[in-house]
Amino acid sequence: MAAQSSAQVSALRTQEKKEVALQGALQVLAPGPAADRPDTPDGVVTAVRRLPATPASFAPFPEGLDPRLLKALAARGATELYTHQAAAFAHIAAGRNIVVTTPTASGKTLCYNLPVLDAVLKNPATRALYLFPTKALAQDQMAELHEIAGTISDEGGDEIGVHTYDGDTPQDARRTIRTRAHVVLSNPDMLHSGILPHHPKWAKLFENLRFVVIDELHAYRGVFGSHLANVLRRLRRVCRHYGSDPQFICSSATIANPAELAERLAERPFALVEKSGAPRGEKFFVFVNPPVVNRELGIRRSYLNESRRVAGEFLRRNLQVILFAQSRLATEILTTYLKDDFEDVPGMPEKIRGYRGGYLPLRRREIEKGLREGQVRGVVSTNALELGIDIGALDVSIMAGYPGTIAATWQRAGRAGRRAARSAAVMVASSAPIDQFVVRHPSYFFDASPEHALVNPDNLNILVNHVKCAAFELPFTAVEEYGRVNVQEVLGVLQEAGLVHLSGADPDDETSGQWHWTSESYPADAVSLRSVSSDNFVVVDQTGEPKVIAETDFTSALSMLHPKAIYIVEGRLFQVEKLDFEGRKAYVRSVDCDYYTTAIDYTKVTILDTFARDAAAVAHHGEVHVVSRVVGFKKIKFHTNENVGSGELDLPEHQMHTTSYWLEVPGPVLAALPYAVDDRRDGIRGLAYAMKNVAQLLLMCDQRDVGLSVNAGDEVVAGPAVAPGQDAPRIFLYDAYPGGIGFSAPLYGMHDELLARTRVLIEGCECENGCPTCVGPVGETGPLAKTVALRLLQHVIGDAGAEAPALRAADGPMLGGAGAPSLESGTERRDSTPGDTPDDVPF
Amino acid sequence: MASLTDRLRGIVGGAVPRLSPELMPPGEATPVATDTAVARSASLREPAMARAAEVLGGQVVAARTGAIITVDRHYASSDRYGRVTIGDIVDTLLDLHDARALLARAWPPSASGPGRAGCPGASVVEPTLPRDRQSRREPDSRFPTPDSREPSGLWFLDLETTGLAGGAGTQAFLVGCACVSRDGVSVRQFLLPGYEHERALLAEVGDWAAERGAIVTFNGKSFDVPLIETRYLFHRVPFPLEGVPHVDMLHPARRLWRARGTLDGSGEASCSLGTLERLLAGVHRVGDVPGFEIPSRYFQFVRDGDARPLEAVLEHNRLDLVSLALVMARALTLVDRGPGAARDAYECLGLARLYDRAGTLEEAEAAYVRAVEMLLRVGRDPEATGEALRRLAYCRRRSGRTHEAAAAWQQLADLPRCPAGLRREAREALAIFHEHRAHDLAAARAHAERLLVEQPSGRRRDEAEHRLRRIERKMGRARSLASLWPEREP
Repeated sequence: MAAQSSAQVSALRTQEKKEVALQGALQVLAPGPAADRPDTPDGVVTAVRRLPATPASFAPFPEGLDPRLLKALAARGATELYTHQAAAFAHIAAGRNIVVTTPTASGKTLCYNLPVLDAVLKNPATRALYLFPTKALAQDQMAELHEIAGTISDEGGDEIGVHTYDGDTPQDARRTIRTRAHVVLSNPDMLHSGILPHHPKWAKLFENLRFVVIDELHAYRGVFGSHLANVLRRLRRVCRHYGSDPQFICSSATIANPAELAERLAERPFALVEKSGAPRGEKFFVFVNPPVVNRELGIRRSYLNESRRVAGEFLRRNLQVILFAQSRLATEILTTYLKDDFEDVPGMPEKIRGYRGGYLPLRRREIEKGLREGQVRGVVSTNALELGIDIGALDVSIMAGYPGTIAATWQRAGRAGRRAARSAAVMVASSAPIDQFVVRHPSYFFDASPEHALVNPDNLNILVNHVKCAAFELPFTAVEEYGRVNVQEVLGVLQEAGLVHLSGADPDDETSGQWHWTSESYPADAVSLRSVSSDNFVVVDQTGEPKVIAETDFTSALSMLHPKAIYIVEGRLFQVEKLDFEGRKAYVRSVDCDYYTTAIDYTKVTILDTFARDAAAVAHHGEVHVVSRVVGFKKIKFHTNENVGSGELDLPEHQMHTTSYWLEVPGPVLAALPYAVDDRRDGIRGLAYAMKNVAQLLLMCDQRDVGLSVNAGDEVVAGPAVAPGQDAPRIFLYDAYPGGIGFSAPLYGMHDELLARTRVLIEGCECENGCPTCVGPVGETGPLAKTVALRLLQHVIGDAGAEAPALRAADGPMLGGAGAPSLESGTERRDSTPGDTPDDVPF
Repeated sequence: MASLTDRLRGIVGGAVPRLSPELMPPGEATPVATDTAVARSASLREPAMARAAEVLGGQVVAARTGAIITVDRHYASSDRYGRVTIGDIVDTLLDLHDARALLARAWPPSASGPGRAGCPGASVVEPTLPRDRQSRREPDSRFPTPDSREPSGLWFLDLETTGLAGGAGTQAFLVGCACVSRDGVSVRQFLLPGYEHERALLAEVGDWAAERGAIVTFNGKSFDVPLIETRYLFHRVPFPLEGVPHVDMLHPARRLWRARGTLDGSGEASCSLGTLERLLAGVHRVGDVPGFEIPSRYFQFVRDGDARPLEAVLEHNRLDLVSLALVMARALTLVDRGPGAARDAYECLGLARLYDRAGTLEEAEAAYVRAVEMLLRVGRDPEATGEALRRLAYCRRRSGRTHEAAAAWQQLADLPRCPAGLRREAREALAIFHEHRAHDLAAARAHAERLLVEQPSGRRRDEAEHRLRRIERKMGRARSLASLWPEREP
């Protein structure tokens, strides 16, 4: 007893020390009163918001809950529920599907574990399938469920079988899991390629499947979500075959449309549980805009250096920090910087670690453990740690660059802070237009709704692949429906390719017969849910004994692993010596150099088909063919970011068909511009740069989701008498996924708003000749880009659009309106490195 | 805007895979229906099914749930099969009960459950564990061994499937079954005339197989039986072979003949039925259809109803069944007659390992001794010789005869060109033997020292160094007690 209280006292003391340290660091970063300061858009610290602590609100356990479960919960110290947990249970009991959107650490998991365990205890035949976006999350959850299940059997209840089922599950354990596990924890990929195609072996699960739990629902948007929706369609088909109809329980981070997303994914109605009853500690949220270091050129201090400084303030006070970077490259650069600052003796336990997709699983588990146990004081990560992987609660979350969406920003901020303790989140803005807009209009972030998550389950490329898998699993009947396309027509085309065959059909009866799979192949193997291609590249270090040190997905490979590229793993530099494209391997050797590389890519878009155009033939929507290729690379010096060389590359090109919105500049408009050919071209490029950024804000999508390509109409500009539409200058904003994922159509619909806001953005920017916040840095777009872009807009819009409404920022000027022009000292490589993805979901 | 069908064609690409014309049997190739409307009528109707049955020499069996084609063939006792007669095969299978029991002890015929080890292709989806964990012996007391059942009950099973990947979309379109009697081998094949008839096929197979005794397959534990069980599970029909003892001849055959496969001149260690039938009976198939072509022949039949390309598939399946009987008969003969019947050292070594596995140590030892003799006489294969000596040593140790075991280890240690790993193992065993059994510390030290000379690595080195220190400590103690005066040994 005495020992316990002394432990409590020392914990309290640590807590006090931490709070003092946190206050100290915040005082250095943002001197002045700690709370509720007015925003100062022109300062370095533009906002300090205090999010007050919230007390808990409780509800009693629902009546009729299995007494064994009650006993087990009581044994674990739970005597009542948070209100949202009780609400979730009530919905489930009423037979509804639910989606729960309460913050991190609010006891979300009990929302699904409670009804599932209750049902299993009451009827041991009951089965539940849990889906997590990553294997690591499933492992975390299993640990938690095992504890409860263990307490239940300790308390004399029945054994509840809880097992993960993924690529790591030992072969000889699989059979037992298939028949005995009450709760199977898996991931969509395994469901897709390992469970559904083998459903007869899982008959027991499917016959008794009552619950499907989908955790981290918000992770399933865009392509991944569209795939998941199809996997769930297949799941429901298989369940029908076995006579079950499971309820869905989803949990999601805060997004604008959780219920809608769940409904699109599961194609079932959902009830929403969003009011959290869990307590929350006080949190300070600070926005930092790197100071202007050269007033004449409007150059800001590099946001990476600024993030390093901010992280240093907290790390120096021994607070545990997670630093989110926007790309894998930025992650490695920041890791290098922080290691320089905080790791002095080689061979000592590493205090600073990097973490990103591409690290091998063992290394990741080691880093996660180091974070939980406290040896790792700082981790620099891509969004790979954004999801709920158990790394404990850290003290501070720092974002180097705006994460791109409101939802992701809250999610990242949530990685710091316990229920009762004070924590801090800091966002350091880069000079990208979105970052500058958000940092100077804090209320856009603090007061607005987060983004919508979009999926397009009927994307033909995706759907066709899943129809193949579905036909392999169970024959389609001649009247069966699947998604919103005519699946019978899809099957007809698959028959032409010899993949399915209609058998047992009565020639006089169109509704008779079944489509059977007639191919030796195993279609699920050909479909990866995570990327366009299922291939990945491995990185082989040949410095000593050859060994695999990392892997990377197909799309990133060319830009990260091209010959002579500098590849960085946790601050160690390697140079790519050879890229074996066919063998999907890159051979690297450890080097010591003072630069890193960024790839330069080239994209060409050709129109295949126009679905729609407006009256003036300016805005278009249609199908396009996109060819992109990495053509070269630049060498960038560490710390100073000087460009110290470049190289050309001859690599295979990447092609896709997708949907696109495009703006065509009418010939007469262009001809009327009193500028030289080069300047006109610069103007179009500058306009495109601004439009892409406005589009991203309007669509509230990730910057990866939309691709930009400009056909500046070089040949045409010289001759004013060219027929309209024939190779006119065009700006393409296309869906960056084969077949399109649903961004270009809304963009076409918002064409007027898009142009109006682009105009306000450029007009409102105080720079003279263009800067990264409006039409792009002068060095890249030319001296007249800004002027020409504005003239172009005036012609295209006419004068009506000048009064465009501000972008949700009720309190301030428009996007990019006020504030000093900001040109950063050349750090902004993230948009120019096509394959350097902000990151994948680690797997 | 392109029509949906056109866009789909762009995505799906490709055309119906066709058999190349030279693979088609004589007679003009029937055009393949590609249009949906035509395809609807191309589904196998009654007259077409009867035609197919006629082409294949079988008959249509109509049942409530569908119709199937069965083909019966009988191979009479007097028929020749390579160098042997069918009569030799069936007599061996029907007579050698003791040998069958011994085989059953070596590989307990656990009945198959749902995909025990998964299908071979499933490893693509579900990464497998190291082999040894899969092939681990798992005696299962729930199921009787064959000798406790009707002794002559034995039938052979071989499937032809629409793919090797496994999973719900892989079907068995041909189930080949064979049973034996004094008259010869009778084969019945069940052919699926269209996917919609699968339930009928499964029911017919279940009826035929009932009460016939143990199943014999070739690789059936990991492929045929889990695959057909999946089909029953798919239709949610009880699996009629549940609990039926199952002898998978792949494993004994590998023990006995894999090494010979390499000596056969074929270059690789193949242990396929084709290799074995050539090796054991000099059977050479003419015009056999290659395995990879089998699914596409069936798909073509399903699409156009022309059964001619399937003739060769059915023949392939029948020969596989007869060869399976041959392989089992030859294995039983060897087991029954002992090492004297082995035609070479490798067969003899394989037989010894088989006895060893079945726990008949006396027979195993005799066979090992004979294998070592034969191998030493040829003197060309120190690996196999070393392996035989090592197993001989373990076999003797298990019968509790440690001195004889040490003799085998000594022989192994002295073997010219002995593989280093085996020699280290022998030295280690000898050091242990001399230290703990023979109590000859000087000899133990000599072996331990020589082991260190052979540069073992990792744990083995640590253990060797530890052992040497311990032996020297013991020797020091013994000497100090004896004379208090350490003397140098040669």
